[in-house]
Amino acid sequence: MSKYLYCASLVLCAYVAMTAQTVSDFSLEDIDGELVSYEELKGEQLTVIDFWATWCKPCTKAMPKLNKIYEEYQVDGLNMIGISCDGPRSIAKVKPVAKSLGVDYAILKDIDCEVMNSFQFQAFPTLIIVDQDDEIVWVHEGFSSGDEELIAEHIRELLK
Amino acid sequence: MRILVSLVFLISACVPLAFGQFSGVNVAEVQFGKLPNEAADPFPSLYDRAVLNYRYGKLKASATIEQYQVKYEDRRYFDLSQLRLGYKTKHWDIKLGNFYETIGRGMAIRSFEIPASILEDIGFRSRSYFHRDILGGSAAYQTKKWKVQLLHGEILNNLLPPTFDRSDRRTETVSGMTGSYKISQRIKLGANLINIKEDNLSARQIAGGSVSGDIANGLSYYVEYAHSFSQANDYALYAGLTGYVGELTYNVEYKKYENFIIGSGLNEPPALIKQHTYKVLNRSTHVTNPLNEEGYQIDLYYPVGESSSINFNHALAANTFGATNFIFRELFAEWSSSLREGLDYKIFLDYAQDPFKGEADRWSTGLYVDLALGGEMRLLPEVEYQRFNRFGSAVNNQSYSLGLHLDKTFFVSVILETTTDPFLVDTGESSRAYLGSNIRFKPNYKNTFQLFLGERRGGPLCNAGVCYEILDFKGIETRWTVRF
Repeated sequence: MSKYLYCASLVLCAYVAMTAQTVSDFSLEDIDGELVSYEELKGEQLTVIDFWATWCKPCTKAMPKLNKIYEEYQVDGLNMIGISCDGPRSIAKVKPVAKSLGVDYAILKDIDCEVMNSFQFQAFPTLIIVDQDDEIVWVHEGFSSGDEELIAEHIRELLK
Repeated sequence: MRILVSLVFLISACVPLAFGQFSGVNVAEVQFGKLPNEAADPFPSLYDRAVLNYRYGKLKASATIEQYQVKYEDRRYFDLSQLRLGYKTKHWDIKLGNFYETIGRGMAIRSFEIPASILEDIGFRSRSYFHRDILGGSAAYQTKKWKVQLLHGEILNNLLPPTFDRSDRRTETVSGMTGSYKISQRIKLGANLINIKEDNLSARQIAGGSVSGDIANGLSYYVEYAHSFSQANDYALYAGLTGYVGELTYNVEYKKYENFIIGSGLNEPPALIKQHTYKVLNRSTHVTNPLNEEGYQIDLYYPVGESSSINFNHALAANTFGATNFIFRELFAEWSSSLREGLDYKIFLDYAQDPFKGEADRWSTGLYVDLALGGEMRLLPEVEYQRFNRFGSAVNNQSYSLGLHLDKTFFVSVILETTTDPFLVDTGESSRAYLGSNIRFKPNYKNTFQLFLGERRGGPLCNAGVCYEILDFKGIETRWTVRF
């Protein structure tokens, strides 16, 4: 019997481990110094969270393209959140860089990069798509030309 | 009865688990090699770090297990290096155990972790994760208008690897309170009070304050000042003005630090020095010295259309040691653009004077190309060149890299670095070359396999705003990162 119990616990733990990661509520300051929470910002259908930094070239290259995606799918219940992981060295640049890139979606500042680290992501940029149940349903690391199509394709699929 | 008890235990233990969530990451790195100039034969070693997280609602528990296995007994260890419990809501953020914290812009406290970085010190030759945490507790409460936080804990001195006892690695205790209040969009006030106590030494009290806000639409300011009560002349001042006009972004910052290294380096005042991604420039980054430094930085960024941008940066940092002044100056310009669809490039030019390192007229330049070859295949040739004079002798550093993305999962590159630096070149030789190859296979975001083969140049490295020293390496290195 103990063998069955052991096997059952393994299966249960394996099931738990296989369950998709979820995003729990967090609060960060936006670039205007307002404290905002994930719950306030999340989209009705999907939420895209982009972890970026001002010193990361692929990140700043991606942001105008992400903004277009945001503009296109906002009406379908998508919201986008950019979380900057700039530390003390470069945090001053977050607001002007976001503004000059014409980003309309919310940009939050996470000086300790706590939110990104809580998911164990290590690459910049890392983009995640979160569904209505707060489950992370897609992860994309890095950005090169053409990736915006891939991201838009996944959003279209998930919005169906 | 035993079966019944076991069943009850299993259900009571696993039902909360099933509603909660496990996640984790494991980084395993195996090396077979040595320092290029080391007399010893190449030897194998294993570094492994596993982070296990469990979250149940607003509660989160984490444990980090770290180990280094090598034939040298004094270098190897197996350590439960972090344990933490956190409770986070919209207003409350409570942490117990090992945690990270930055207060203000890091002037008084900046603890950190550099993801995926493994630190190896030439003195101890043991490998450990590169982080500096606090062991204790922190409680913060915040609303839209104000925030207050209390913290207390022992600071990790990460220069000592886990082969040392905890009591040796955590000799400093920090206690602090910090708060902020937003009066309006134009004014936000911050204040903090920190007490640092090192074993057998008198305590040091630091008080700081900040004011920040928007002066006008598109123009923001931030000023922070910190002062040590116990030593009258110890202070740090940082002031920054950032803004944008149309698409032009500008950033002007000023710093003055006087005897402001707290403890063994718990703080990290803003550096005001650009952290470059280019190899030759990153290695040459001026490291801010909070003991005595004054300077400024001006940064301009202008995106041109959708695919081009210009970045200009100028930094000056003056250090005074006794009767000698060292003035570091740097001018940097970068243009990145696309020649056509599928052909991106970046070019940079940098000029610096770094008398503290004895480097005069340091010119650096480089070209990075990203060429789409069809399908998902991309070719990435990169060339960098640096030249400076050190005490009358010309020194050259060059870096050539050719990378190939076969698709989104597979990347291979060959890197050749050469130098004529007399500090690095063997006696009787005029130059030294480092040839290495990297292979990365990432079948999905949960698994990444990396292989390095050859010789890698060490030296200063700046990553995520923190500068540290990495060692040369010659041999084979594999790393497997898995998330679950």
